[in-house]
Amino acid sequence: MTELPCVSEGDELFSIPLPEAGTIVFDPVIKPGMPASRWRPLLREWIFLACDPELSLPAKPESVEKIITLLGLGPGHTPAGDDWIAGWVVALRWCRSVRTDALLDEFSAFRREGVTTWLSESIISDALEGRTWARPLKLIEALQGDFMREVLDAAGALSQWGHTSGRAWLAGFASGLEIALNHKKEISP
Amino acid sequence: MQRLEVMPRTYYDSITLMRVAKEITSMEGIENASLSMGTEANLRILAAAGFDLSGINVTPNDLVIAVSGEDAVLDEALSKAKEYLANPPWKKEGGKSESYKPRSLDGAISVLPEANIAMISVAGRYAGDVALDCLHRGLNVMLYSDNVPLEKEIEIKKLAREKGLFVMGPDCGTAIVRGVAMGMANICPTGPVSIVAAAGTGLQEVHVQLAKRGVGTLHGIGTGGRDVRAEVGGIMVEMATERLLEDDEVEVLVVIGKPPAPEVEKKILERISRGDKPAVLGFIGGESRGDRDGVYICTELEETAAVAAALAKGEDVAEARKELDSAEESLRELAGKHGPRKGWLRGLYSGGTLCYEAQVIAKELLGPIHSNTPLKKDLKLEDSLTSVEHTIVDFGEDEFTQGRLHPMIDVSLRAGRFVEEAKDPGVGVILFDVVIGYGCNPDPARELAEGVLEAKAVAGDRIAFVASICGTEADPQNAARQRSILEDAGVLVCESNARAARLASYLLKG
Repeated sequence: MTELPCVSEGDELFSIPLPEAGTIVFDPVIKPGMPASRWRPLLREWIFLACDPELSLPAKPESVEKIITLLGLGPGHTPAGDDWIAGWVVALRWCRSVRTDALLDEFSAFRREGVTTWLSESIISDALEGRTWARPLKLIEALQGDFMREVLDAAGALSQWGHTSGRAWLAGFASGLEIALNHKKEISP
Repeated sequence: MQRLEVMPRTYYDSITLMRVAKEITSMEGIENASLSMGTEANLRILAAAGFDLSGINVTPNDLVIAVSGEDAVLDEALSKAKEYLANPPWKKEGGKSESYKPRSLDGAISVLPEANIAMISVAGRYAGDVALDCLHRGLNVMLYSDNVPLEKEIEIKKLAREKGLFVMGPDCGTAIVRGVAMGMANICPTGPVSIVAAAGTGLQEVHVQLAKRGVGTLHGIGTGGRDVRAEVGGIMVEMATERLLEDDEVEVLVVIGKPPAPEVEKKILERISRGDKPAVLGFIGGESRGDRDGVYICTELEETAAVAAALAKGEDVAEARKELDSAEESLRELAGKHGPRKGWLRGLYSGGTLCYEAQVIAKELLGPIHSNTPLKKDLKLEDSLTSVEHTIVDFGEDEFTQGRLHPMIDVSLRAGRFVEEAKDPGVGVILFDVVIGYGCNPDPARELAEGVLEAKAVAGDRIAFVASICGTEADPQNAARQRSILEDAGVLVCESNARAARLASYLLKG
C-alpha cells in the first residue's frame, strides 16, 4: 500500500481500515525533469493568472530583487506573493540547471526571515530544499506526460487551492518554468 | 420602496447576474430584484418595472443592482447580492474540484491539438479578431457573438473562403455538425437532410419539424443573418451549399432564411440547379414562387421541413403541401370554436426568424405589424417596450441582450410583459414562442405560464394566448411536458410557429 485510505470530511477515523503492515509513504521530493513540449502554450497562459484583479501580482518580475519584494504580499496565512514565489522555486528545482541553481542561490541570499508568515516561510524553505506538496507533484507528473485529462484535473485542483493560493502558485510556477526552459533552449545544441 | 446601487466598471457574466437576481427575489419581503449592466435598454426595462432612475449616473460598463419590496429588508438584499456576486453559493455545491479550463486560444489548442472548429463567444468588438486568429490557425469558426461590425464580418469571411474554412455566424446560435448539435439546439435524429440557415431559430424550427416527420439531419450550417446581404454577397451560403452538394451522405439540401439580396438568391439558385440532388429553398416571405427541376420553393419554415421530409422519404411533395392546407383549415375551425377576439395582436418572441415568420403571416391576415424588427422600416416601434396596434417584438434583438441574458435563457422579461400587455384593454391575442433544447432555459413553460396566469388575472378571458414550442420530447425540457404546462394555464399550443401565427390571426380576424 503506498497511499493512505481516502478520508472525507465527517468520516469517523476509527471506522476506516488502516493497513496493518507495509510502508505508508508520501515522498515530497521534486525529481528533476521537464514538461512535455505540447504544454508550453498552456504554461504561458498560467503566467498571466498573476494579473487576475484579486491577485494583482506582476506577471513577469524582471529580477530576483523584484521577486523578493513579493514576500508577504497579500492577505492570508499564505499571502499571494508567497504562493507565487513557492511555485517559482518549485519550477526552478524541477527543471534544474546551472542557471536555475544560480537564481535560487541569489534568491536565498536576498531572502530575510520573518518577513512573512511561518507557514509561508516553511513552504518556501521546503521548496528551496526540493520538496513540495502532493498537488504540485501531481501536476508535475501530469505535465511530463501526454494526457490532457490528467493535466487539466491536476491544474484544476491546484487552481482551486485556497481562495487565491492555487492561482498565484500556478502563475509563479509557469513564470519559473519559462526561465528554466528558455535557458535549456539557449544551451541546447 | 426601492434601492438602487451602481457598481462602477464592474462586469459579471449574464448567467451569474440572473442567478443572483433570482436568489434575491426569493428573499422574504422582496418584490423584485434586477442585476444588469447599465445599457440604455436595461435602464428602460428598469424604469418600466417601476424603478425611479432619476439622478443616477451610470454607463454600460457599470453594474446596476435594483431591489424593491419592504423597506426593512432592502439594505440586506443589496449586501446579499454583492456577497453572492463575490462568492456565488452555487459554486460551493458538491465541493469537487473542477478541471482547469484554458483561458487562451494557445492554451486550448495545446490541450486539444486535433480540434478543427472553434466556438467564439466574446464581446462583439473583440470577436472578429479572435475569429481571424482562429482562421490563421486552420480552425473553422462558429461565431456565437453578435455585434460584430459588418466590415469585420466581410474581412473574416473573405479570409475563410481563401483558406477553405467555414465561418458560421456572427450571431450563430445553432449549428449541427455530423448530427452533433452546437449552441442552442435540439435533440433530433441524424439523417439524410442538411440545412444551410441564417443561424438560429429558423434552423431549430426546421430541424425539429423534420424530426416530427421522422426525418433526421446530418449538418446544419449557420451562416449569420447578414451573409445573404449584398455587401457580404452570400460567401458562406455559397460555400456551405457547394460543400453539402458535394457530400455523398447528404440526400436533400435545404437553404432557409430571410429573403436574400436578389444577386445572392440568383447565385444560390444557379448553384443548386446544377447540383444532382433535390433542394428546398425556404426564404421566409420571399418573392420567388414555383418549383422547378429538383428545386422546391417554400415561404415558411414548416412548409420547408414538410417538403424536405417528403423528398427524403420518397413521398409526394404535393401531398405534403395538401396536408398543410388541411391543417390550416383546422386552425380556422379551432379559432371559430374558441370564439373571435377583438383588438390587437401582441407577439412576444425570443427567436429572430420565428418573429420574422410570425410577422409575415400576421401581416397577410391582419395588416401592418409594428415591431422592433419590422418587415418595413416605417413600422419600427419608437420604443420596443411600448406596443402599438398590432405589434410583434423580438426580445432576442441586441437592444435586449447587451448585458442581459438571451430571452431563450431568461424568460422573465417576456413573462412580465404578458401582464403589461394584459393591462391594455385593446389587446385581444398574445402570441409567443417557447424555444427549448440545449443551452435554453431548463423549464421555460413554468415561468411563462405563471406570467400567463397573472395576465389572465388582470384581463380575465378577454385575451387568448397562443404559442408554439420549438423542441422535441427528447430535449432536456421535454416538449410534451412544456406543452402540458402551457395548456394547463389555458394557452392554445400549436404544432409550429407558422400555425401559431395563423391561429392568433384567425382569432382576431374571425
